[in-house]
Amino acid sequence: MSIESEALASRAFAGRLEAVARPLGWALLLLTGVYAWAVASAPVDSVQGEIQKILYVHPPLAYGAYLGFVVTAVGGALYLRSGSENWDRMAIAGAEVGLLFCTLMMITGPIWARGTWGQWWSWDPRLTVTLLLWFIYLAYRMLRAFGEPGPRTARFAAVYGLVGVLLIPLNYFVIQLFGSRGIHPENLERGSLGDGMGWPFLAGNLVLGLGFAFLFLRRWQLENLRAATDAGEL
Amino acid sequence: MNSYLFWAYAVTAVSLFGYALWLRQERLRRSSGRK
Repeated sequence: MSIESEALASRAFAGRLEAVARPLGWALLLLTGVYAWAVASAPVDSVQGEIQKILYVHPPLAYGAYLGFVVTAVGGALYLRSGSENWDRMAIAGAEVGLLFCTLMMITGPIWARGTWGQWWSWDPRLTVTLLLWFIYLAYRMLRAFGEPGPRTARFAAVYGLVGVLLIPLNYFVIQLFGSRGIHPENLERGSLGDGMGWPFLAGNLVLGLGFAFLFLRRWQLENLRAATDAGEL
Repeated sequence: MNSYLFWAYAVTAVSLFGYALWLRQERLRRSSGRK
C-alpha cells in the first residue's frame, strides 16, 4: 500500500470510529447523571460509614484497567499475525487508557485504605501485584513514547503486551492464593453486597465500562489521525 | 460528605474528564491536518 493510500485508509478508519464514539459520548453524559444519583442515594454502610461508597468507583476502575491490558494483548497478537499497523495502534490505545484506569485505581484504593485501615499503603499481596502491574504498563507506555517508531518496536511491544497480560489472573486470584495473610478484602461475589448496594455498583460498572470504551475509541481514533498526518508530511 | 469519599470521586472525575478533553483537542488538531 502506498503512503497516500495508507493515510487515506487511516483517515477513513478514524471516521468510522467517530460514528461509534459520538453517540456513545452523549449516552455516557446522561448515564453519568444516573450514576451520580445512584451513588448519592445508596445506603450508608453500618460498619465503614460513607467511605464505603468508594466501592462504586474503585473496583470498576480495576476492571477497566484489566480490560485495557487485555485489549493491548489482543491488539499485539493480531499485529503479530497480520502485520497491520492498525492493530498496533489499537494496542497503544488500550495500554494508555488501561494505564489511566490503573493509576486511578491505585489512587482511590489508598484513599479508601487511609480512611478505613488508617494507613495509605500495605505490602499486601494484592497491592504489591497491582503495583507491579502498574509498572509493567508504565514501561509499555514509555517504550511506545520514546522507542523508535517502526515494526521492530511494534513487534517487541506486542510480545511484551502478551507476556504482561499474564499478570492479570495472578492479580485477580492472588487473594485466594495467599488466603488470610492479606489485608485487602476478598473479591466480590454474587450476594456479597448489602441490600441496596447492587444497583449503584452495577451503575458504576456500566458507566466506567462505557467510559473506558469511549476513551479507548477516541484514543484509537487519534492514533489513526496521527498516522494519517504523519504520512501526509512525508 | 466524607472527605476521603469526596477526593476519590473528584480525582477520578477530573482525570477522566481532563483526559477526554485532551483527546478532543488533539483530535481536532490532527483532523485539521496539523502535526
